[in-house]
Amino acid sequence: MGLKKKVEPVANISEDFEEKREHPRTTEQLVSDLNSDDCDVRRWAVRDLSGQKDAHDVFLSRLPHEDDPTVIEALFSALEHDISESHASQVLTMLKSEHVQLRNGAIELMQQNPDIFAANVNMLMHDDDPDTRIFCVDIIGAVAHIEAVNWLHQFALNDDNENVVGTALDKLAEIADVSTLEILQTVESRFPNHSYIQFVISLIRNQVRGGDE
Amino acid sequence: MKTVMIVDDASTVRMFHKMLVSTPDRIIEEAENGVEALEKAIGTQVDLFLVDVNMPKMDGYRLCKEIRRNDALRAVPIIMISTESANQDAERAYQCGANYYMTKPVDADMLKSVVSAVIGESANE
Repeated sequence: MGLKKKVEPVANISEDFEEKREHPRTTEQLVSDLNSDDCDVRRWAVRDLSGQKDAHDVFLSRLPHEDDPTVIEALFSALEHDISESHASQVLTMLKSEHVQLRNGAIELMQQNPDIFAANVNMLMHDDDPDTRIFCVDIIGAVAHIEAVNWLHQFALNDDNENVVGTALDKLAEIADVSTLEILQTVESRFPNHSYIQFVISLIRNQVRGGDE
Repeated sequence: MKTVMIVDDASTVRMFHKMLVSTPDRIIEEAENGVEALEKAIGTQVDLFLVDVNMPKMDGYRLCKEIRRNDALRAVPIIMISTESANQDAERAYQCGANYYMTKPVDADMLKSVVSAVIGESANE
C-alpha cells in the first residue's frame, strides 16, 4: 500500500480516498461524495460525475452550499458545456448571491452561453434589484451576441438607476457603433447633472467619431 | 510625490477618477482588479488605494483584507467606492479594513476633498 505510486499529481488526497477511487463508484456514491467533509473528495466527485446524465442538476444544487473555492471552480468548469435553458434560472439566481465567487462564476457562465443569456435578458433588464441589472450589463459587455449593443442602448435609455446607466455606458465605450450616437443626446438629457455619465458620453462620441474618420 | 492606485474593472471609471484626483504632484497607478492591484503595489510606494467593490478575480472587499494582511501595505489608506448604498455594505467595507466608503455616483468635489485629506494625513505621519 505504501509503495503505490500516484497516477495523477494531485496534492493532499488522502490515501484512503485514492485507494477507493481506483474502484468504480456508482453515480449514487459520487453524488453522495459531493457532500463529503473532505474537499478533495468533493472535487474528485465533480470531476468523475462530469458528463453523466443529470450531472448539471446535481452540480447546480450543490453550488449554493459549497464553500471551498477549488470545488466551486471545478463545479463551474463542469457546467461550462451543455447547459440548458432549464438550468438558467438556477444560474441567474446566483447573480443575487453575496458570495463573490458564485456571482462571478454565474456571470462567466452566462457569458459563455450567449443564447441562454439572450433568452433571459429581458427578465434581468426588469429585475427590481439594480445590482442584478448591473451584473446583467456586465454580462452583456463580454457576451458575443449580435444584440449586445441594442441591449445596452435599452439600459441607457430606459433604466432609472444612474449606476445601471453608468455601467451600460462603460460597456458602450468598448463596443459602441454609429447607432449609439443617435441615443446619446437622449441619455445626456436624462442625467444633465451627472458628471460621470456626461464624461462617458463625451468619451463614446469621440471614440465612435474617431473610428469613422 | 504621492502615489494613488485606482482599482476598478471599468476603464472609463478609472479614467474619470484619474481625471478627478490627478495633480502635478501625484502619480496615478491603475489596476483592473484586486489581483493586479496587489501585484503592482508590492514593491511600489502606494499612498492611497481607491477601490471599487465589484470586480472579477478579486473583489474590493478581499483586496482590502489582503492589503491589511500585507506588512508592507497594511498602513496604506483605502477609499472604497461602490454602487451598493446599503448600510451593511459600508459596514462590511469597514470590517475589511477600508478607511472611507463612498457610493456611486461619487460627488466629484467630495472625492477630491477626501483624497486630499487622506494624502495629507499620510504626509504628516
